[in-house]
Amino acid sequence: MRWWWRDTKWVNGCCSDLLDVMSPKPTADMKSWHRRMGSVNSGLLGGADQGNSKPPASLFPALGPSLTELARPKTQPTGGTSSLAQLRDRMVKTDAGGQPTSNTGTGLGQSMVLSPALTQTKFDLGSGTGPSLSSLAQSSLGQTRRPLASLAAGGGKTGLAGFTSRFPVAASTTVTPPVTALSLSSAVMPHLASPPTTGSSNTVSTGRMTSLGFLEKTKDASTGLSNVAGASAIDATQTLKLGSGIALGADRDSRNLQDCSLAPVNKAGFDTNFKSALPKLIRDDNRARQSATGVDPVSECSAEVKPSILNSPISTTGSPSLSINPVQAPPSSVAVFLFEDIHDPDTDTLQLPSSRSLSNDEPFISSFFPAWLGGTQQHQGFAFDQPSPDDVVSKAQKEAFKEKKAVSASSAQRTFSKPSSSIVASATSPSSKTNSSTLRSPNYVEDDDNFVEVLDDDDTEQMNFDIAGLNLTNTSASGKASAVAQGKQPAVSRPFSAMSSAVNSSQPTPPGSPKLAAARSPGTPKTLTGKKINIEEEYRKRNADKEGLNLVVIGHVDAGKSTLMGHLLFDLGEVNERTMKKYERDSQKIGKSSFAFAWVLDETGEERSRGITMDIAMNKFETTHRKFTLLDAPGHRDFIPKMISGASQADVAVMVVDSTTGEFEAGFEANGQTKEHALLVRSLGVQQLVVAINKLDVMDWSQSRYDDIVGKLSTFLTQAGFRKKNLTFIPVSGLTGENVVKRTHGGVLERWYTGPTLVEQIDLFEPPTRMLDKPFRLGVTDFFKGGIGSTGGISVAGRVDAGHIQVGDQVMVVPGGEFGTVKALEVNDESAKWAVAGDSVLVSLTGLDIVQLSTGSVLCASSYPVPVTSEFIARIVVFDVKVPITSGFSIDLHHQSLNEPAVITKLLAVIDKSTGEIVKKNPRHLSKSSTATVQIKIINRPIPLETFKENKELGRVMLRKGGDTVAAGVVVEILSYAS
Amino acid sequence: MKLIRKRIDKDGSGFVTLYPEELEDMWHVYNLIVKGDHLKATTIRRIQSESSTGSSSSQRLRITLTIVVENIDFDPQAGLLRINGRVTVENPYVKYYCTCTLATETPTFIVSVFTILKLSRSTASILQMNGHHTIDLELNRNFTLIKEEWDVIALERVDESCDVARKADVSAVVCQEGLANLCLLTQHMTIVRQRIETPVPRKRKGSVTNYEKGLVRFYDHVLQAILRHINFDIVKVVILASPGFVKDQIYQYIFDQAIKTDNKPLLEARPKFLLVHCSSGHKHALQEIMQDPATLARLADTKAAREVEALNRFYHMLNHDADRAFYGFKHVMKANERGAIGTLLVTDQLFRCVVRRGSADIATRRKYIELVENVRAIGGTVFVFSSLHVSGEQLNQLTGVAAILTFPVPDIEEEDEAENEANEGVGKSS
Repeated sequence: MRWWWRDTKWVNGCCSDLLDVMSPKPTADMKSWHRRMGSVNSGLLGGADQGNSKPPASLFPALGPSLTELARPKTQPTGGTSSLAQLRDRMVKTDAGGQPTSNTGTGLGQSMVLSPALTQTKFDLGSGTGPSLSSLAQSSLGQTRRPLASLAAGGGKTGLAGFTSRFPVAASTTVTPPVTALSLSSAVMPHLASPPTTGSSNTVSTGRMTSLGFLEKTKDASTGLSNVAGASAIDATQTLKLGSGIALGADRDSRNLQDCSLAPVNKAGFDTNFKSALPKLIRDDNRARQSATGVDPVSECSAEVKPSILNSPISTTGSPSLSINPVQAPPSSVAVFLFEDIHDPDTDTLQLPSSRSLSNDEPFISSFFPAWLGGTQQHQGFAFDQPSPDDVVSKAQKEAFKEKKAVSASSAQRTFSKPSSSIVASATSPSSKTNSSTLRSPNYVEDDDNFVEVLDDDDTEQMNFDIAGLNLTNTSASGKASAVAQGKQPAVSRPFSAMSSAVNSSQPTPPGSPKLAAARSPGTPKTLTGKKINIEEEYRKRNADKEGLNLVVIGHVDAGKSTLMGHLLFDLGEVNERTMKKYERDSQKIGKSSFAFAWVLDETGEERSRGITMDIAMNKFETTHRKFTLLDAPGHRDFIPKMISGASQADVAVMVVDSTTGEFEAGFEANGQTKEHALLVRSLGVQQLVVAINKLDVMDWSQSRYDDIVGKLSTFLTQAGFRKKNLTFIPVSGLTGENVVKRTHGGVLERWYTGPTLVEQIDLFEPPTRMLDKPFRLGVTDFFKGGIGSTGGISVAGRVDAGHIQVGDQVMVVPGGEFGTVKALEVNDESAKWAVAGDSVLVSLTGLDIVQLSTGSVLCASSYPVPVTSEFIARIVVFDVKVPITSGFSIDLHHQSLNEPAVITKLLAVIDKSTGEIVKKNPRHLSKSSTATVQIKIINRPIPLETFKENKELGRVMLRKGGDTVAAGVVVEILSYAS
Repeated sequence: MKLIRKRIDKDGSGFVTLYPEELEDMWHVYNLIVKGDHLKATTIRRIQSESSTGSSSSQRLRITLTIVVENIDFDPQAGLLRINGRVTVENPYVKYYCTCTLATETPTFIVSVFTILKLSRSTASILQMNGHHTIDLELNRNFTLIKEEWDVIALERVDESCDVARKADVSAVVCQEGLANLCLLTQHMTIVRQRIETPVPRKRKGSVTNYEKGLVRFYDHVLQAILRHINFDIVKVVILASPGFVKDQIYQYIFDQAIKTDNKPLLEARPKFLLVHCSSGHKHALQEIMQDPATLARLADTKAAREVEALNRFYHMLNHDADRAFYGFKHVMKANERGAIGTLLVTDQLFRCVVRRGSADIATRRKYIELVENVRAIGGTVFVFSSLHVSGEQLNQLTGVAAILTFPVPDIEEEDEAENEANEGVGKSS
């Protein structure tokens, strides 16, 4: 409290004596003010206060300045109008005048008190002698555009705290009173500033959100804005005028006054709304941290506010009269563009925040309300070592794209039916919908012992496992949530294979993504040259023929993976006779003739001479109904990082098990890789598994041995989370090729085995749903100089994790943020014009330096970059570990092809596997097979990472230590952002 | 480090004069000096003097300053130790000047010393007795450390640092395909000298030339780093560690190249190379290396290896009998009250009363020293981990203090929980 009084003094200088005289009384009042402001904030933030009636002290510094500013202009003797005391008294009076201040705490009720108070104040000011706030604002618009802009930026950055830091600038330039008056209506300011200053798109985007948060505060002060905002919810055609409308709002004094005077009348409407919001907020608060509803309170708050504004008769009548004022500068194209986007015709702004997913929430909040967030969670008040406002604003700008996307996604489902009296009702209903769905959120259901993903018996659901994913069934974000509320509309569609038409129509609208056909602009790379290809159509065409799948081959070292696959490729005609002959000859020369087939995949000299696969080998083959990209993983435990890199690209897996006496046991027992590999692929999202019981020829095709192994394995694999029906066992011999592609008739095997051959079984794999409609992502597994076909540039290999790409697209490399243009593409070694999620591609990029790339980089759509982080919260399942995981546990973090040293900095909570409830907070250590949320910090450098909800491929991490996999997990929340 | 002189009174106050010889000694000194100590050391200052005629001259002088330590900075990479504090003792090397203006109580002898200036200030100003100065401690120059109280930890540190026998200069190259960390390990420090990261393209169908070229480039980088950073005269063991066959490949490459270039010193150093398996190329894989029996045999009984062993024992205990392993000061203190501590693991960071890192004040240090003394008194073992080692780093993450108990004390945790609940209750009610 004290400090900002001092601050005021400092700024004011001249009227310090005045202040001093008044200080005793104001202090008391200001305290009450503080409380109110604090609770408003906490209410808006949601979860900040956790239902505690006391506003967090940390909010005070942030709020202080704004209050100072509130008070200050009035202390200025210049206006000679209403003094600070007068003003403040009035506010207090209105407060004391029996407003329904609900002391319960969430503060929204109190915030209501605030706005009428403000209304009154302003009314007074206006009708009295002095210039009204809005006219002041107007004048300031002309005079102090720059400080305003900077103020706006500051506001975007550190919330109110930002104002203080920026304040001296504004103050020194000239018109202090207007500027400060403006800070009262902080949300308006960016708008005021933005239309004339064309370049400041940053400001606009920031201000936009700020306005949501501040709406009820600013509603009277900014009149024009509230009208427009309200109107835009009803009639989207007016949104174009929004920018100008706001600017206009400034000079429409007289209307303001009337408007304001009526505001208290509307109060009743407000209160009811807020009361209805209260319980929700309280409920949300409790979960805000863990269950993705971080922003919901905000959304609800804004949702409540707007309709009530609409309810005001004057504002509704007032809104049509908005037109472009010839005197005012028209809104900049940037402003128009942005505003248009946000108030998209078939959109309602109310859904904006609520339709965002968790991962968005965090950055979202922190970029727009950092002071609040910081104040409540991380740091106290404003720190000068924070990033500059510009940084934050530009980040916010990026966020705006996401937001835009989210809007369009939710748009279809929610629209206001009527613009008039029923609006309050209709406005509350969507929020209650969100809410009801929010309530469902904490269904952390896990049905298996060792790992996590839900596997329902329903066929449609099955393909959908990744969305249900690790049971982070989430609400705030997903279209699913709203769908649930809207009568169980299937959130996710049936498998792709079942219906090629599914791509378009019944394709689910996953969280925050636009419909496929309709809007693909946000997440798609910008195409610079050539014609756009309609990828959905092409994809459907391609799939009509044969669908593509990525198959990883796993198993203990020397189980015969490469040999089996080599033989398979040879039998399918992928390897020609002559090459094979050569391999046989050469392998015989070094006395390893049994490795001939493996040489198809093991190509390096090292691998051949040692007779061991050391890196993923990629190949392709086709079966009757499918096209496969084969990833042959190394089995040796030292090469598990490579295996993870391969498996993270895979949809389905073949596990090869050595059936010979002793060998199976060696692979299956403690130190063998059979178990570890199975757990790893399962954790990496592979659901369908074919187990090839290999080398049975050595065992004389003994059925009892086969059954024995099948028994042992199926127990383990079902425990590991594979469903019985997705598990098949095939007896094979990789060396002889028996039962790989065909079976010898009348052979020994034929006596007891009549099932399908390996290839027949592989052909039955169901392709998973591809994330076609998500923004483009490609995890880089490999890169080298020289483009495809010995052209220039650099080549990048990897699998498209989400979205699609075509020649001519511009893509962004993260981390680094450099851009490159796609010059050529190869899908499965065949040149192509486009590629979609699931394809293994080789991309030739131009305009990019190779030093920008590293293994583990992600290529992504420039409009929707992948966040880069070094600190995040993950939900992990601890494997069979020798030492317990404690805080400070150093690990190797594996994320796609990347492995980086990291530290588990905090053990947040142990979670019950079946219910998802927190069993123990801040545990001392995690023992084996427990599920927990932990905080992880990456030591060396930040890496690109997304939350599991956002992108399931980029949201998975494996934790290893000392050559053992200790845990697998998914990213729940990203804590820090780097670039 | 050499101990030149040592005089400690019965009350624990006294001074020690030391002669640092190598980089690691700086680390010892860093751990020895505590805020509030007096340090007497030489430093070079440019002195500007004005003669009576008004002409001024400046010269660089090595002068001895005594300061009260306020801040210590240590850069383990360069072994640079900077100590900041106020000058407390008038110094014979500095010229005294009589200026009447400043004469206050004893006008006959005062003093105001000519300015000691840091470089380029042109006018002479008056050195104040309490002026702030920074001393860079230098190798091979004596310094004297005066403490009001020499506690056990400090005295042990002096002994340890002056023990010539305990020395093992080891360098380790921890690598994986495309990544290598070249580290120097001493008794108390692990320093990453160079981190090598070379992108190695992966094998592609039909073409492995890119891959092989990339590998060779990577091996070459490692070789160059070894040649640059490892002095084979000093280093006794070079550990090459990696998962898979990278270490063998590098080993082979190094000596192929040595033969090609006829690099005698390298060829002679061949027996010093030790190939060890580890699981990754990151620095913390050193911990695995330290456990490897092959390394242990070569490194004998080094501190680092013992530390790793102790930490492993702790983790093992935590996994198997959680009531016998505790970490965090509060828990450990409780175990100590019950006399249950068998082995105490602490990092030296906790005893370092440097302003920035670790325990910030003398009180904390005293607290921990008490703990150490208590544990010793009841016959427990105490490991003071060097926070520059990987194991120490990890212990630091683990609050810096951990204990293995001789008997299980399950109620520590329960008590703690109850307390927490009580605290929460209080928080709520208030």
